[in-house]
Amino acid sequence: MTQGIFEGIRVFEVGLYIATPLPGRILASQGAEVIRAVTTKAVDASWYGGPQPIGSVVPDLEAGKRHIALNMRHPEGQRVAKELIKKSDVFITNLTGEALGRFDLSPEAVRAVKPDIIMLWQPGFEVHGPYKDYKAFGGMLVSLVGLAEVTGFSDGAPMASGTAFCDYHSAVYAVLLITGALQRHRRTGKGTFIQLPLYEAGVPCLGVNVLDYFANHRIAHRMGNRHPLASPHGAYPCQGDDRWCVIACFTDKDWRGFCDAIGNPEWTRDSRFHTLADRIKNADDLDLLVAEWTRQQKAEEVMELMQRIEVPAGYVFKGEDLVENVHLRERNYWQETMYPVLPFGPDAGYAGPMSTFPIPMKFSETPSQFGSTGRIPEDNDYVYGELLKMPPEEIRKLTDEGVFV
Amino acid sequence: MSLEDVNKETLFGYYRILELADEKGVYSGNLLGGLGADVVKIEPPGGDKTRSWPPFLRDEVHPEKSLYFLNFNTNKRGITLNLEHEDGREIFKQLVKTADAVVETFPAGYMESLGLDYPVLKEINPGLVMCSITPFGQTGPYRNYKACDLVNMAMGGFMQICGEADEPPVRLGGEQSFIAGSYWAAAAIAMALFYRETSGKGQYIDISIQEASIPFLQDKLVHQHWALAKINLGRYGNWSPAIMPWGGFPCKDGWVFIGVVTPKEWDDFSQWVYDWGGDKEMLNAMYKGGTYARASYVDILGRLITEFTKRYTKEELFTGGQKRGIVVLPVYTAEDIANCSQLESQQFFIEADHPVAGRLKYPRGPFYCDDAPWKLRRPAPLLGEHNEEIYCQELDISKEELALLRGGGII
Repeated sequence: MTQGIFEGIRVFEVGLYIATPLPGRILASQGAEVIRAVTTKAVDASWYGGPQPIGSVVPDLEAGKRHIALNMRHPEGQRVAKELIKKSDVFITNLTGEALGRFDLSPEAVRAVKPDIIMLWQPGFEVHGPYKDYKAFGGMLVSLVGLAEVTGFSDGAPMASGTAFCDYHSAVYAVLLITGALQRHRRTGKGTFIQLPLYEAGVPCLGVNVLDYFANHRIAHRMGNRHPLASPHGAYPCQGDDRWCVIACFTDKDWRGFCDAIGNPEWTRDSRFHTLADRIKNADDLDLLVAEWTRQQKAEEVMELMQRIEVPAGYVFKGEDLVENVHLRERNYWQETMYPVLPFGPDAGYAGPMSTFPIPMKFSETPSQFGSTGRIPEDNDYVYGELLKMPPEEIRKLTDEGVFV
Repeated sequence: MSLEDVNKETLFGYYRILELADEKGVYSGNLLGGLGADVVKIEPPGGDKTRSWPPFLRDEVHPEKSLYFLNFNTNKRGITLNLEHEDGREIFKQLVKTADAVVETFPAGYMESLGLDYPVLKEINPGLVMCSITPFGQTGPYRNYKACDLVNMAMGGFMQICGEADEPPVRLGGEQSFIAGSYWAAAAIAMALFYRETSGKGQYIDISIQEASIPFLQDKLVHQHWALAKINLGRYGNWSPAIMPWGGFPCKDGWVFIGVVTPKEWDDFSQWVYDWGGDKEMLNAMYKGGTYARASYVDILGRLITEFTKRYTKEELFTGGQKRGIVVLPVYTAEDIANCSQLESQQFFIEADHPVAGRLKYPRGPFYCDDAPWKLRRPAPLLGEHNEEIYCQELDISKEELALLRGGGII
């Protein structure tokens, strides 16, 4: 097996949800030893089952890590956390500032323990400024970063998808920055402290629109699936239940190809659709006519037909398409991991293989590895016994006293 | 400040990246450049196609006034080069000798057709990291499919779960799939360069924008719903079917998102609504409780809450709710973000002067790192702005030769 990129690097990970565990997983997939500490004193049950009726987020995020139970509300837990930090190259967390203070893991405290540590902190909102004490749900942050305003139909409500959008951005930025900090440490021996507020991770997404405001005082609004440089450009209904294709004609070549593909019906020669500017102006009429044709087609066949003539087109993937699509299968997209017995939730008791998200970076020399998803606290003995060299009696004592739980 | 000092103060100041990227990869160079890398953007002699993308400064169509190009190409130097010409390809190979990484967004197979694919470049520079970003990756039946953000969003699964229940699927505004592909590419390049430091080996990275977009769905468990229970998730609009309030509400000057989950949050929220003139019905004991307690009352409560929110502005609801510990988030427009007091207090937008576009403000990287801060070192390059600097000073091409190359359409 090839050595991973982060072989020999140890990461201490303390965090919930996605923003912290996901970069931990990416680092683990490249050989880092990621020690994930949670405590059964404060498990968020919803993350193991529900609010979704099926499945759970946590197993995906735990793949390939070492799992320990550590209660940092207990002073001994805080002491042990510091021991782990001394042995780690990276400390990543999304605990609140208040919790970090309570657990004596503030940046100052951590630096005092290990001056050359790389610490990456993902506060949920902001640490300074007017929003300092504000709260947010990850899935709603798209409203604050301007994305919801430009998503949806022009006569409808702003849309969010309900997923933790900013978390995913934050996770990849975290990996980018940690990698840079590791490089810096290698060259200079210095540690780095990085703050990556979850809210800010989404703000660059609307960079062009904000620049348009600065430059032109123009405010972008929702335009459904329309595009200022293409027409037709949208999602069109197809045969079957909730089946849609997408078609985009940016150039005259795309448009001519599209017309040929659908058999050059009379209406394509209408003066309303002669140039791109005409087609954009009359997009409402055009969309109705395109839909009349697509309604009689299967979505996947529309894609194949259009792609044969090199017109940008696709179809809206449902869950079944993500799992079973021929292209993703040939790319070996979904990886398999072994789910441990889920402790609670609707799938409590399920144990066995499960497809899991891969890391969408295909390296030629260092392919990503996928460990199994572990159970808490299955690595207590390894981490406390072998790594921290605690004798078994001490581990037992601290477990009984509610520290290693 | 010496180069040594500059390198210590950045995370990627040690590296030179050659960027041959259009909209599918510009943000990767932008990120690495802001973190200190020397990013050299190589455009065809006629300029990158995104120089003709709107919006334009004062709506003046001009290759130096595309706000799209200006936004994504800060912190890069710019040169022109015609890879379709054999002499151009030879010059590219010279540049590769001293580069650490190449990022490109050409269709799969194009670089190979030019004799500039990874096996060739690796011979020239064994430590090179080469990263290709394409809509569907370098392999697989769709690898040569034509795409755009709409197609990426559809085939990344996102559109299926975005929109109203009885309406068509809708994509995210602002070409988000390109952002995703680019930041995965930037992270991958950084990782490969880190690996090279100890192994001495470069490598090739294949980024598929489709694959980079699918993770947006992770916490919706879309693939698990199918794999475990053969359920296809769909759209249900802005409101949760079982949690109230959870979603968007129209207000006096736009919209806000509100999320109330715990019993205490509901008590505080319902009291607030009543205190601010809302219907007393909000205080009815039957609505009290945690997450799903109000599942049977979504319609009536939705109506009462909407009546309340419509009377106040985004800012009033935002600050009013947050001060009471309630999650209220305004649906910000570009104007709101530009004027946002929080972002201003954190100097999120940095001013820079561009020789043609003038003074504009650009976003910094979304993080704080006093040890190695994000720097806006230069605005987007003019077309061919650094031709002399790089070709003459680094490749020892004389000015006369440069003029000939220009005349011949090679540069």
